[in-house]
Amino acid sequence: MPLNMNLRTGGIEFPRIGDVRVGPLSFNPGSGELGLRIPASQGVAPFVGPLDAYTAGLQVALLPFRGFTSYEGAGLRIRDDNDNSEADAGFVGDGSLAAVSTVGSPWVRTWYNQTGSNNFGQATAGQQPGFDATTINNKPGLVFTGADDQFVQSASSLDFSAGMTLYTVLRFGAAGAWQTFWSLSTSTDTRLRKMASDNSLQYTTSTADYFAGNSDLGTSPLLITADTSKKAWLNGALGIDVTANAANSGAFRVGLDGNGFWPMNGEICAVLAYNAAHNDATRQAIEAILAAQFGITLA
Amino acid sequence: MMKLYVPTSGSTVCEQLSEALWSLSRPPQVRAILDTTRMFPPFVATNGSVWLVVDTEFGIPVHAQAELGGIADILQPWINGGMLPANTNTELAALVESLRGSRLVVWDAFPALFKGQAKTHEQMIDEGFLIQTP
Repeated sequence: MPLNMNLRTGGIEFPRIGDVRVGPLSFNPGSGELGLRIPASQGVAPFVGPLDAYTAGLQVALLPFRGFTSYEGAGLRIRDDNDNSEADAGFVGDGSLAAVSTVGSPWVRTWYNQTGSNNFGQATAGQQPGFDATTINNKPGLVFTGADDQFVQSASSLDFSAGMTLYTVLRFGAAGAWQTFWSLSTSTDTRLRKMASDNSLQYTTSTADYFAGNSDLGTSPLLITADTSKKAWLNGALGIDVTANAANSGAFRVGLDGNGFWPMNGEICAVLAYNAAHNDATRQAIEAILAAQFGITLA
Repeated sequence: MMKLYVPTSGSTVCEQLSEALWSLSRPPQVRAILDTTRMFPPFVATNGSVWLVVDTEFGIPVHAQAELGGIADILQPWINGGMLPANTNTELAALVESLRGSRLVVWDAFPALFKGQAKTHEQMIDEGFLIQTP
């Protein structure tokens, strides 16, 4: 709707509801109306977060796009190793990450938690993952080098005592080594990783390890969902289904296990964690949103 | 990437050294509050000793305002104890000054004493400093 100034009265005429006019900037000498007519095609629709319906119990939301209408912060803090200066990368109007421009190689100092608190920072340069603007489905992602890149958040306010559902979007870059992409402990009690022997998914506890047999994780993009009742899904298909409860407290770590070993070698694009075990309907809805964002076909 | 474990005299010194090394590239006066503060991580061995885990290929641009500063303070006890040559800090300060505005592979500037004491990941395991169970 145009906002008009009436030159005869000198007043600003606010558009009436339903008064939609389309066209360029115009001036009518007869009526004295100066109107900025915005073509409908140039109108900017308000941003709507794709995950707005799924904020209940959300503890961790690490994403390369703006997931929530309510979140207005940055997505990543990037270090440019040309001079090691740092700057935040925010989101543009459609929710995608703003272009990251560096002279040298970009490294991720902070992955901002879109819950608004408990950001995942890495203050040690040698442990920062790299940044790549075009990873899975040409979306930005973090590149873990297989050394000891990691993010750890130990805030006591991350509480999974009532359960947890974890969603991760990632892609392994190499076979033949144990690779942990998530752990929830200061030891090795609760972790998800790729096995060295057959590249399958492993979910460990302090007493036993569980495997998704015949689940070669390969080097294709994956959406891995897991909960603390020891279920795990690979691209929407149930891969691990046992009844042992995993540990539900401790440092929430991305890219390394709780002892500091078996690092991720590949890309991690998204990590969502809720403090409840989701039912199938909720899990499938969130998986569908992530799959659409990252071009992953669900089973 | 080649990772080496360099022994330190404890967690405090290890952290101070990591911060002092990072300050060569980003002195505190040019850093924002949310910026990176350290270069290499610490590792606590099975016997409680604390090691600095150095990426031997890690390179930095040396800042125009870089000073040896904290590194000299850390090395001074070693010099006083006769384990490092008396001119160690003087030579390192000259090196830093000469490299301002240039890049430095940090490991290259480590004193020979520490290079000689550094261990590989495999050596740490073999000598019982590190237990890495699957």
